[in-house]
Amino acid sequence: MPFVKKLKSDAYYSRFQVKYRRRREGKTDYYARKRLVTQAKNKYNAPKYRLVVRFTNKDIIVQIVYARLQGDFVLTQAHSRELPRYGIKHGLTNWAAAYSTGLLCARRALTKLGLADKYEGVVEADGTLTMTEVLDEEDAPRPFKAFLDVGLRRTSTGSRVFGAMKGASDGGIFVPHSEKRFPGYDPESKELDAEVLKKYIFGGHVAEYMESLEEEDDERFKKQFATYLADGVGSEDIEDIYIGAHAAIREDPTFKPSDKSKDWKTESAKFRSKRLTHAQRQERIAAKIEKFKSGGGAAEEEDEDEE
Amino acid sequence: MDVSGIIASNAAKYQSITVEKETPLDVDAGLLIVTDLNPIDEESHNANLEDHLQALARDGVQSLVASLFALPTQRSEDGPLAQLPPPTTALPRAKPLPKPKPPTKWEQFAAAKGIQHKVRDKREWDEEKQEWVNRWGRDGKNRRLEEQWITEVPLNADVDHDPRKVARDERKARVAKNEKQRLGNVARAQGPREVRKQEIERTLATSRISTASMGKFDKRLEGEKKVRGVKRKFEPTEKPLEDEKNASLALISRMGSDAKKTRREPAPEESVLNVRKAVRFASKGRGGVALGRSAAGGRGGRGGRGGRGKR
Amino acid sequence: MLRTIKPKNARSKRALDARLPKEVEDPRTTVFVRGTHTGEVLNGVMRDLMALKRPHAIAFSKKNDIHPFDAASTSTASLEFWAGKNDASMFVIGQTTKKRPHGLTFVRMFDNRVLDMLEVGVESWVSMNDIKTPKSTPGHKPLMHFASDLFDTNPRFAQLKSMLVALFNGEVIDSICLAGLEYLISVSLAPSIPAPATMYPNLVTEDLSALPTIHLRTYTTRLLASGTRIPRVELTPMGPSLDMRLRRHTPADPELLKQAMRTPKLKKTDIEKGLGKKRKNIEVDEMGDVRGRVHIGKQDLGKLQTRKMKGLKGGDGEVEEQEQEGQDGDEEEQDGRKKKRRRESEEP
Repeated sequence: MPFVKKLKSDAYYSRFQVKYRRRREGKTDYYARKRLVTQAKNKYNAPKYRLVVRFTNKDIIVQIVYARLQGDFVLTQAHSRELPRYGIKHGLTNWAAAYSTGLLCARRALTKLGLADKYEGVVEADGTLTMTEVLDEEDAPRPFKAFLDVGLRRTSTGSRVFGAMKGASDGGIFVPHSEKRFPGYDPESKELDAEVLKKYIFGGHVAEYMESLEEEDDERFKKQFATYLADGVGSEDIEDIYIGAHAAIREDPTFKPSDKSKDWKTESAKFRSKRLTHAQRQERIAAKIEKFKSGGGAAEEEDEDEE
Repeated sequence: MDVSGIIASNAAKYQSITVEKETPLDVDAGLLIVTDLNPIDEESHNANLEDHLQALARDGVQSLVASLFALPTQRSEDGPLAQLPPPTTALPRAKPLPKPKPPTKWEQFAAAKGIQHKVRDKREWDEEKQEWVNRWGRDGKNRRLEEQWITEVPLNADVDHDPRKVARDERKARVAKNEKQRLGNVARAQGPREVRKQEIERTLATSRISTASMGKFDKRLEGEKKVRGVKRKFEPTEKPLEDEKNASLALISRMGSDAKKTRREPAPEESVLNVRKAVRFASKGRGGVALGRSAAGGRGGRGGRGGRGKR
Repeated sequence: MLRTIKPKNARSKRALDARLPKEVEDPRTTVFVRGTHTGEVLNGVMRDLMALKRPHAIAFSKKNDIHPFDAASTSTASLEFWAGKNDASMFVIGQTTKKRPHGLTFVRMFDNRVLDMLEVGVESWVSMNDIKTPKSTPGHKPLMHFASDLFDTNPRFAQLKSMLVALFNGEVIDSICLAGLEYLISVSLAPSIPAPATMYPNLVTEDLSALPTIHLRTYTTRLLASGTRIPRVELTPMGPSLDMRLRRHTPADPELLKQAMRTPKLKKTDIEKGLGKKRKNIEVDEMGDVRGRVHIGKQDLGKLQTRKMKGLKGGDGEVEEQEQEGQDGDEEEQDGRKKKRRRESEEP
């Protein structure tokens, strides 16, 4: 081993204060969290909700979350893996799926809060920037407000995170936002092309790619869209699928648990090692010593030396 | 119809939201604090502590909530907000009150001349680009002369005349002048130069004689002044009791007195108007005599010096 | 001379400006420090207090050799250093020793200097997690309730009250959402023993065992409809609940305290709004105009000078008198004043 100059002294390490656990794990942006969770000084004690959007390799999770002293609580949530129930069977992580999941989460939340009839949102999405606004009636309830929480995701223009947000916003939740990060926004002219955004909402970009791939490279097309082809879904069907799904979501946004093939709770508990009590540990040690003594300890010691 | 039941239930309702105590509760709505100054009832305290505390807290918070809900409210998009009165409980601050910034030389001058402060926008309208551009900074308009692709060169210009460099140097000089003025303002805010110098020298002298040998064996820098009149003083080991007493009393009286706190007389204020500069400016560099002459001459023919022109 | 930091970019300038003294102050950022030994109880207590204080709380995870009452000078120096580094103006220090088990010291700072300190001993503690009830939202402002006459009469408890208010609720705000009054911190004392000590206040050396126990409880509130505008409040224990006893303390240095208690001059707009000094007889009507009422003294109609007419004049004798009055009117006036003065002096 080469000689390495010791740059930091023991005193440094003995005083070193570690960051929060979730910071060390690289999972939470505490700067953002502080601002998303706590209320501004001029409206202290007013409730605050977050619209949390997270992506995994096969799933999109949209949740409405509020904070309490002992931790965060989820008001409602929607996964993109529930979308097959509404007719979207393929591409459960794309922009259009994110939109649908956001819409589902919003409708679910408003149903739970009893605001679903009052705040319908944008029933026929047209890709323009629309905010949920307070109803004109006297004594009408205010819109449900939630702030988008993107986590550690990069907020580039066209990101799917904003697809989920657009879905939730069109679903009748008030999510403060601007048009800047939607697909179809042109940074030069600083305008949003509503047609492009509408195309993304109904999966038009997928259909377009499907067509172009079919023309160019049939082999790749068959590989890429294998499940689409197996179900006989063509590029022209895609828009109808999403239109139907959005209507179905508005019809019945409630959660239906899937049929569990196994009782997963007991199944996973099988593989969890239980913490032993002190007495049990002592017993185990004693048993090991006993075994060591009886079964020729010297031989084992030699083995260890070799290692 | 029997209404007695309704009346009774109504009374019960009101009873639950009103609190009656021997000493009325002291509510500070500004800080959301209620103080119950009644002595604690020993009996109920000893009987069941948790219930006693909860009942006590409920009574207190009920009256606090009552006073909070009586406050005027304002509508907002997050629901009605109660407008709190200023707090009555005095709490110590965490930091001293912010001091007003000492005025800069320009601010002094502007105040003396009654010049109004004009806020200049950071952005400026560019006719060519047809959009708002920064006055300075990133893509700032102050670099326009340096960046334009064609520049008119005067006829009598040198061979190595570089209009870009000239413009750039001018801009840099403006920045440097501004920085110099800023530093001057900072220095002025700390007090006059002589005072600061004296203070530093005093500190230096104190630190120099703070060794046991009064700095006799310390290394001396070049050009460092010798501290004069500092001698080691050895008190006699035995002293009359009276002297000791006097010394102690003197020390105590000095500690208690306000001698240190007495304020220094404020220095006579410097005039904000630099007369010499003003004369030079008004006479376009020809001096005060010329200015007087021109003023006199302008009024009536050959008045000459000391004529009617002079007041 | 102090090092003056010149910010190199806009971000660091904003950060520095945020640390400057402000007229309306931010809540006190509190650092939770572990002493040389803390133990399970204190760790738990500090964790729970921190949960209530968040997001204005900083935890020091390492142990620190700090004894604010014993080794005052070095400890004060490190407190002041930490205060400057973390922009913190309050400390909660946990330290348990054999002599003083489970000691919790609250230190308040002013201008990065120690203002006052207060030590309490935790006698019993129930954690927030052990009480299985709904909790409040982080960052919400609590209601506070103090119950005992001692908070007014005893300077030790007055200091405790001031300290706890500064810790949990010290921020001055101008509006609050009433629906979010979620939790209550209630501090009450055990019944005080009327000690004979009050008879000889000079002879009393501070007897800490005579001071009653402090019960700190936290409850979540439920606002129930009562049929009126004011709701009925129900409480549910939330935790943490602490039983404490007062121990050592350092009162604030009077000179420093005087500086710390200075209040900003009220702005003209605030005075017009009716803050600060009470303005009598001035009100703003519905149209937004300022209306004032002026009180004039009672008018003495007897002295009212009406039109002089011969017919109204009285008898001859009076006429003479009047003429005399006219001649030496000045004297008469002076007499009148004197009389008035006399009357005034007689009254009290």
